[in-house]
Amino acid sequence: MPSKTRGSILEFRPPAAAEDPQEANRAFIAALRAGDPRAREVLVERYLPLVQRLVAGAMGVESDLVDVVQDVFVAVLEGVHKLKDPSALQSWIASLAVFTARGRIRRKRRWRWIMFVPPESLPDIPVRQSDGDTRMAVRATYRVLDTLPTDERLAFSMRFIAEMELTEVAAACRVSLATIKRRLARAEARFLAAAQESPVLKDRVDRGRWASK
Amino acid sequence: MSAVKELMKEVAAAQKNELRRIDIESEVKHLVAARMAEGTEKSRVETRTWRWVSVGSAVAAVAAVVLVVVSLHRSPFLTFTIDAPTHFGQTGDLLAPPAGQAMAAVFSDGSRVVVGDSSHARIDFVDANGAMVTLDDGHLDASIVHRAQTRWVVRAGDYQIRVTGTRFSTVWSRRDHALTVRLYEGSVVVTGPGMAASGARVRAGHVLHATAQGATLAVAEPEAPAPQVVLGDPHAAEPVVEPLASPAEASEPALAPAPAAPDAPPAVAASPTRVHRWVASRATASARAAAQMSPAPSGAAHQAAPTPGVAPAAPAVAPTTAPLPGTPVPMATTWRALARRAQYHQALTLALAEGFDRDCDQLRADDLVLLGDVARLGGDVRRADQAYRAALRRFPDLDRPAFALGVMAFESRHDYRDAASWLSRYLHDHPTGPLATEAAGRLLEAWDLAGETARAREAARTYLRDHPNGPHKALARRLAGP
Repeated sequence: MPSKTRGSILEFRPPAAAEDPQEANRAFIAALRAGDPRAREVLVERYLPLVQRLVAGAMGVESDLVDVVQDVFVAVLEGVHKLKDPSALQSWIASLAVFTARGRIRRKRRWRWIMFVPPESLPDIPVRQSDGDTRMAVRATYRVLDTLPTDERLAFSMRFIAEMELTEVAAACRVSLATIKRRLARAEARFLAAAQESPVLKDRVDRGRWASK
Repeated sequence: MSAVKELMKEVAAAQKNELRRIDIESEVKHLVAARMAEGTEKSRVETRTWRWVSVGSAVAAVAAVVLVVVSLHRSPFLTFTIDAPTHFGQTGDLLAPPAGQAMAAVFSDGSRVVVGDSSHARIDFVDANGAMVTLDDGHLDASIVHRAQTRWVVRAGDYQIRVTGTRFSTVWSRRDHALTVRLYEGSVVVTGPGMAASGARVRAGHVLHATAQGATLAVAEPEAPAPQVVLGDPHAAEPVVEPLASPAEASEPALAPAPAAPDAPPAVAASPTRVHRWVASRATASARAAAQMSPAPSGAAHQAAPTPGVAPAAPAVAPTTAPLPGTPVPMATTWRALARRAQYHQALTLALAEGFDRDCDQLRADDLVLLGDVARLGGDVRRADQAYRAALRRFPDLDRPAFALGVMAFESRHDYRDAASWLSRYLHDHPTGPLATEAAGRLLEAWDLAGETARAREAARTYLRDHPNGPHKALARRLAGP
C-alpha cells in the first residue's frame, strides 16, 4: 500500500485489487497532493477514457482535444487539495471536464466574431473510419450544437453523445436534476428546430416522432 | 426510439470508434507533467513577487497604473515590416522576392515569415493575436513567437497550418498540390486533403508530406540544419535568418552541398548575399526532408510511428539532394529516382509507361516492394495491391508486402477483416519482424473495428504480453478487459 509519508510518496504504486478501495483512494489523493509523478501518471491512465469521452462529447473530436484534456488534468492536479470527499474523485473530475469544455466552447464563441478564418474554412469535426453519411451527420450535428446556448448544448451532448445518466449529467453540470431536465427539454426542442434547417439532418429528424412536435 | 436519439446514438458510436483509434495517453502525460513543472516554477516566482508586493504596496499600485497606461497605448493589432525596418506592410501585401533572394516580413511581436527564392506569398490578415499568410507557391519559413491567444494560420492551397508558437518550414507546390512541413520547434496542426479532418499534429523533428492522395509523417533527419531566427529585436538592421550550423557542420563551409544522388540536379549555388545563403541552405534542408520521406529500396526499413490521420511513413533513405516540389523533372530520370525524391505520382506515371505488369514479373525483390510503395503513395491502390502480391508470390520471405497489404486494406478500403488477415499472416510469418509491433497493434484495431470482440480481446492480450510498452498499449488495455 502506498505510504502517506513524504519520503515514500515517490514510491506510490497503483493499489492492488485486494486493498480497501477507500483507503487506496485516500492514499492516491494524498500522493496527488504531494505531487507524486507516478500518481499523476496513474491519474491520467485511470481517468483519461472518462475525460476524453466527456470532452469529445461536448466539443467533438477536434484537433484541440489533447489541449482541453490536458487542461482538465492540470485543473485536477491544481485543485485536488480542495477535494474533501475522496470517494467523489470521479464525479469531481467529470465535473471539471464539463466545465473545462464549457470554458473552451465559450471562448471560441467570444472569438468567433473576430476570427479571421472564415467559418467554411474551419476544420470539420473529424470522424475517421466512418462511412460518408455518418461523417456528414456528425459534422452537421456539431454545427447545430454550436447554435445552442452553451449550458443546453452541454446537457444535450453529455446525455446523448457521452451517454451519461441524467443524474450524472446533473452532477457534472453542478445543477439539480430538475434543472438538467429543463435544459434537456429546451435543448432537444432547439436541436430539432435547427436540425430541420440542416440539409444533412432534416431527413433524419423528420423520420421520427419529433417531427410532429 | 426517436430519430434524434437514433442520430445521437450514431454520433456517439462514431465518436467512440474515433476515440478508440487515437492514443493520446503518453502525450497527455507528458504535457501535464510539463505544465505542472512550469506551474511550480511560476508559483515560486509568484510567492517571491507577493512578498515584495506586501512590503511595497504603494509601488505596486504605481506599477499597476503604469501598466494600464501602457496597455491603453498598445496597438491592438500587430504591425509588420517587409524587408526593411522602415517599410511597413499592409494586409494584402505580396512577398515575392526577386530571383535568387528571399523576402522577410517581421511582425511587431517578433514573429517572422521568410519567403524563399521563386516563391510567392501574401499577408492576408493581421490582428492582435496573429496573422493569416497564404503561400501561393514555393518555400516559406516561419518563426512564430508564442503568446497567450496566439493564432497564426499559414494557408497553402487547400491546406491550413495552424500555429500557436513554433518554428517551421513549409514547401508548397502549386503544380503538384504537394505540401511539405518540417518542424524545428513546437508543433502545428495541419489540415487539408489527404488526411483526416482532424488534421495531423506535426511536432518538432518531424516532416509531414501531404497530397490529396495521402500524407506521410516521418522523423526528420537529425543532422539537417534548422534556421535560426533572431527574435530579440524584430527590427534589427539586417532581418535575415541564418542556418544554425550543427557542431559537425561548424567546421565546414556554410554551404557545403550534401552528397548528391547520381541523377539529382545540382544544389542551389552559393551566393555572396546572406539571404541567398539562407535560401540555398533551406533548399538543401527541404531536399533532405523530401528524401527522408521517400521509400527505401530496402525491405527492412524503419516504419515511423503512426499518427492519427496520417498514413504510415514511408521508410527513410540516405540523405540526398533533391529538387523542391515544382522543379521540372529531368527527362532522363527513372521512376526509382523520382520515388527517392518523394515524387510518387510522377514515379507511378513513369513506371506505368515503362510497363508495370512486366516489372511485377521481372523486378528484383527490393525494387518490386518499392514499386508497390510508389503505387500506394501515388494513390493507385489497385496497382499497389498487384505489386505487393507479386512480391509476396515471387519472394515469400519478404516481410513488407504482407504488412503493406494489411495497411492498405485497413486505411484505403476499410476492410478490417481483410486487414486482420494480412496482419495475422505477417505476424505468423515474421513474429520478430521489424514491423511486428506495429502489425500487432493494427491487428487488434482491425479486429475491434470489424466488430470481432473476442478476437480483438485475444489480440489485445497477445499485444500486452509481447509489446507491453508498445504504442497501442492503452487501446490494448481497454480491449483486453479485466
